[in-house]
Amino acid sequence: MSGVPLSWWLVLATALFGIGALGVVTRRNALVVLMSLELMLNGVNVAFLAFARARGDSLAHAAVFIVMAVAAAEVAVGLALAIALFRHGGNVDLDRARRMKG
Amino acid sequence: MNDLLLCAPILVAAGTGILVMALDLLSGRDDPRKGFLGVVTAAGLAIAAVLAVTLWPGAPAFEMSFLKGVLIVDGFVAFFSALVLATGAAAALLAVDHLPEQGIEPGAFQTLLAFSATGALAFVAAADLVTMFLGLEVMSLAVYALAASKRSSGFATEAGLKYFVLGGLASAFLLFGVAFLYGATGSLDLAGIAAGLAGGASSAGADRVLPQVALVLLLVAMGFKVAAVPFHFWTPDVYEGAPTPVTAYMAGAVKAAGFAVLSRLILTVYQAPSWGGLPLSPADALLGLAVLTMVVGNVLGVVQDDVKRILAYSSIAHAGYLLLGVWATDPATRALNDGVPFYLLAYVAATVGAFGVVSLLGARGEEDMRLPRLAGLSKRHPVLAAVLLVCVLSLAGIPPFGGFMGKFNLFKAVLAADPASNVTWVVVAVLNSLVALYYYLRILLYAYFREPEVVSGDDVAAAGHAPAIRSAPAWAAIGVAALASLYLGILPGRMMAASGSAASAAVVRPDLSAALAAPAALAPGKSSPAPAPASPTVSRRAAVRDAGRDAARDATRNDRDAARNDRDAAHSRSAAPGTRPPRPPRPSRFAAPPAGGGSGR
Amino acid sequence: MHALVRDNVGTLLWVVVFAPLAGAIVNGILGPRLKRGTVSLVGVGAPVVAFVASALATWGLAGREAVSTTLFTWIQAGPIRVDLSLWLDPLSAVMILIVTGIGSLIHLYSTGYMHGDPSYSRYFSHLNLFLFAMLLLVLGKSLLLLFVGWEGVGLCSYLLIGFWFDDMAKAVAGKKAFLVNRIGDFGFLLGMFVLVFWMEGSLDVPALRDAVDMGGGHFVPGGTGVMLVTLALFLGATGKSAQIPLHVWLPDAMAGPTPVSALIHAATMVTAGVYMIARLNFLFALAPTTMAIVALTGAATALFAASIGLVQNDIKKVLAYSTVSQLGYMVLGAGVGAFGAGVFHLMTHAFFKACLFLGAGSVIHAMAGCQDIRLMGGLGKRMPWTRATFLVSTLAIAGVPLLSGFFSKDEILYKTLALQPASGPVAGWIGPLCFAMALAAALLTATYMFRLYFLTFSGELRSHHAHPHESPASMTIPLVVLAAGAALAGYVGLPIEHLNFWEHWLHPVFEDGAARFVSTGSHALEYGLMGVSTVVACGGIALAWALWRGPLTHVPAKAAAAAGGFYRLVCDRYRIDELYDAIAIRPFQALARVTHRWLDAFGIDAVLVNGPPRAVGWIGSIVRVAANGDVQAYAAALFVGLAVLLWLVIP
Repeated sequence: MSGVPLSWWLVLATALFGIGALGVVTRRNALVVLMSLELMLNGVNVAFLAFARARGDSLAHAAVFIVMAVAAAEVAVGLALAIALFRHGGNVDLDRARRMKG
Repeated sequence: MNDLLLCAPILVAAGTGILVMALDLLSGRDDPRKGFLGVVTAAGLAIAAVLAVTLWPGAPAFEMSFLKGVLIVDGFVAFFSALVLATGAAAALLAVDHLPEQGIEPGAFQTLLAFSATGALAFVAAADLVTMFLGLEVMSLAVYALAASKRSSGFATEAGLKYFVLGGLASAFLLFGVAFLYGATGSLDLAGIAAGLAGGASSAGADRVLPQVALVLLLVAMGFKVAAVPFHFWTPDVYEGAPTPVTAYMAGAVKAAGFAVLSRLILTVYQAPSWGGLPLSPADALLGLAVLTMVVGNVLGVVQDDVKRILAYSSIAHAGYLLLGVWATDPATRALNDGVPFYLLAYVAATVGAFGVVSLLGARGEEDMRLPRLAGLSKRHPVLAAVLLVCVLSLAGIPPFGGFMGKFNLFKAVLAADPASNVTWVVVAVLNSLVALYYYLRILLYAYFREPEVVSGDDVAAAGHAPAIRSAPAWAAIGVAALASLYLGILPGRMMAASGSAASAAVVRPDLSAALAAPAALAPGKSSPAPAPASPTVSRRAAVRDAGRDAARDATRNDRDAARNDRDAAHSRSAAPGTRPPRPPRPSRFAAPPAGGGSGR
Repeated sequence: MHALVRDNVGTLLWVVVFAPLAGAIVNGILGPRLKRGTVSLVGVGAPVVAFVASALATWGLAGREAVSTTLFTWIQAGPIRVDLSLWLDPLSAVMILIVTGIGSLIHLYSTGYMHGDPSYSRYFSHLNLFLFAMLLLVLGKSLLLLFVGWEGVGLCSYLLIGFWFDDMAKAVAGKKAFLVNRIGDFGFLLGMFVLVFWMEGSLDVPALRDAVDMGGGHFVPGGTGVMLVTLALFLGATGKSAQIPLHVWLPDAMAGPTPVSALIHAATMVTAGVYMIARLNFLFALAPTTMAIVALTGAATALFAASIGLVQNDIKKVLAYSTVSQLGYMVLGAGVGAFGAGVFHLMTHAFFKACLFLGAGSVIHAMAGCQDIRLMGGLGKRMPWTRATFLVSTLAIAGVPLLSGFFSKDEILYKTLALQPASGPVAGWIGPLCFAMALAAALLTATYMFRLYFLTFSGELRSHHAHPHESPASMTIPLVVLAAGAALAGYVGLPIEHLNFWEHWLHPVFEDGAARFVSTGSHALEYGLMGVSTVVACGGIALAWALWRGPLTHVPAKAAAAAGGFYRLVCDRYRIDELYDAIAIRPFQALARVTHRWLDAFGIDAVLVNGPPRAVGWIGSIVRVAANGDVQAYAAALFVGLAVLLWLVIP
């Protein structure tokens, strides 16, 4: 790892973030969207750790742990919402959640 | 112990959540006394608010050893925390009788509300960006769940889901921005980042990209929270679908917290004097968002037919005015525009009152809040109509209500920041307020001048005949909101002073950085910009830097004063020939004593 | 005791002003829930308290030029500063005594007259509010405060004329009074604004007097500026004091309850115009042209209204035209520089006209609402108190020697001939012309007043429906007191050098104004004129007796037939109302219709008011398509915003 330059790690982080973002925007399944959100957060975690590594301090490690904890909580809420969506129509298709507009 | 005392507001808020959860578990499933939980929540949050305004202003943040570098408590935080907590308490009171009518489980609702307020406190008081993220998530996750808390309603679920997806996205943006800032400065606390950016400002282009990208990411995330265009799309849908007390909480507390953090972040991190020379400075980005937000908010408000959506677009438009206020800092002091906190206060009071009235119309599971539902309100429920009148006129910025004083002071302060160039934007904002008048008056038109259409059978409720919920706690909440709107409009002095002192504390001073650097034992990194422990060198350097900046600021101010004096002198010179020379003093024929006495000749 | 009062005159003045206001507030808010007795106690108590305070304040004033008291600074805008200050000088002392004294009697009378009215408390609330406004008018130190009172009494007058507003004609009469007064108020405001500029912000009457004393600036004797300002102010006076050409509202104002007519439309409010001229005598005296116009207007009004009064058949209308005519005398007095005489007549008139109106009210009360004198007659036997007091007042107004009206009217007649402006080119014929008109009016006054008296109280009752009876004590006591005043009030101003207490008392107020006039009269002229007016008064009475009571009762009908068109013209009040209708009201209504249709409905409502929202709504209906409800589209918008900002920020 020490041989890999910072910029590569940042590219990886941005790529993970971007893939997650693409998933959020394009996938119709609420569960996939949820996973994509988690992917974005993990991309951020990679960026945190890369910076921490490059700077040689451990401040960001704490941040990453907190982010992981928060992500877990977010998943819990997201899954609950997906279940609620499922209860109202038998699937978890985001297309159904567009009754309010304008 | 001192630390724990200073943390008391947060602890009380969190404790309220735990207490309510416990009380909910202890009571039976269909216990009719569950309305009590809302009163407990409101009381707990109100106590926390009182603690915040008594303990926090003037508390020297860096004396906290236990939580050093995690939380800042000062007048700014106290003001916004109290605002957030009061809104939370109001929402809890509004919910007391709203929840049973809508079939929402009160225990979970009130618990989530208390925890959300706790998160909002941490969000507002955060001294470092990870705490800020944590606070944001605690606040937001609870609100996602609250928005969807009416499980029988497809609309509520849709609202929760939309808010969740977009909120998650915004959180990811925020976090990415935080990561970049960390990468650029090696620091996670606000003051350290500010110092790091100021120190690195002299270095060349490449080093600036990271903070710039971070700025954009943070702006997007905070823009989402305060519903700035084009990150506002969720607002009307979520406000419409969520249970109305939750909407009141979102429009009041979440927006106030968002603005608190947005201003503190932007002003602390990005207002460094050397932060110029970019094609688009942070300020320009803010201005663009502000103008776009007020225009789009008001234009779309005009075409709405649903009261909650109208108020949602109204809240977007208000975000636009507030962004303009955050943007327009005085170049000399770089402090927050002192009209902003007061404006938020007036806006929150009015908007909570207005949503509160709407929430009382939601009897028997009613979700339709289109304008005709208001028809005949003034006849059936004159008190509710009066509260709505006060709050809506305050939102519209009509004297003698708080919204008017808020707008007046905000625009005055925007003008004062730079009279020559800001006048355009003030004119734009005033024109926007005129457009907004149209939809505000439409609400009042329906409430006061329309009779409900006579329909038969099941449509009776839809046509506005459904009685409003009779709820003493909710009436107390909207009554306070309406009285506050009046108070702020008629006797604004006290709150203006509070607003001014809050605004003056908005920027986290870099000298705090030196003090906060003390616990940097966490990260004694080799490239840390503020090497720890707080060596005399650092302090001296910081002191020298501050002294220099202060001197520069004083010089600027002196120059401005001098210029003004010159102008005044010129004015009086030019005016002299036009005025009549003063008359020679002459004895009055009638010496008139001031009161009661007599005079003889 | 005197020292104590003397030191507390300021406090007493606030009591004078605010006691009626307190009464108005109590009866206005709590009135409907209070017992009738409590309403009466509050309603009558407030003016009585004010009267006692006025009397004490006047006593405390004695020997001093003026007393001033300030509550707080009301307006402070740039150079303009208006304090809420009261100003008691001999003139305002006289006025507050008249207003509160006669006001108290009329309030007392009202408890009997309005006894059965369902809006009893509203009546007293408005009447007390009127007193408050009138006292503010009289005591205001600043012209602006005077104007506040001026508008306040106008408002109360409007409210009380239209007191029985469910009768459309009465509501219209109230509106007419209000609108006609607006024309006068426009002049008052205009004059005041100019004075504000001249005075650089201060409108205090004493300061104004100082400035006029200093001379210079705009205050040049005979100057055009002063002339225009005083003319504008006089326009205000013509509105309030019902002078030609703005007299048309006062006869219609008789639609209000009769005590209101007595208090507001005879004794106090209508004299505000005269009071204002007297108050600003030093300013008016600077403009001889204005003074000549004032005098001519007054004399013409006196004659003109008296001629209408001769042919009216409504008891209150006769008295209304009589009031207009008597106000003409007061204005004439002020116009010839005899300010003291004008205010003297104001005072005596307040007594006898209030008494006459209250007597008329008593008669109307007895006749169960009937006001037509052709249906009355013989009431003297059934209503001895009313008849006696009415007779005393009628003798007083007719100018029979040794009663109050004789002294005051004669003083004005004498000064009309005697006084000349010290400077300024004013034609010599004006004085004699005014005198001639005033003398003719005096003859007519005696005639129409005794016509009224004979038709009402003598002979046999001509109505077969009425069962007249004497009014209760609450109504007759005020009548007796006022009749006593009508008989004796003149003795404070005896036309004998050392006994003329009145002139002596008011001298400090009017010395500046009076100094600009020189007297060419003599005692011989004065006593000669007394003889002439005695003959005129007695002649008028004899004529009335002959025509309506004595041997010539068939003559009036024949004379009317012979005069033909002219008679009908007089009966129709010279068709002034119709004239105004044609030249002012109809064109204005047409203009209003046109502006409503094109400027308001189309230009403002359609284009300016509804246009922008419609345009905004149109834009909005396009923009709202973006908010299509799809959460992923919203997410995309987040990214678009992010991308745009990044593109702008990254070089």
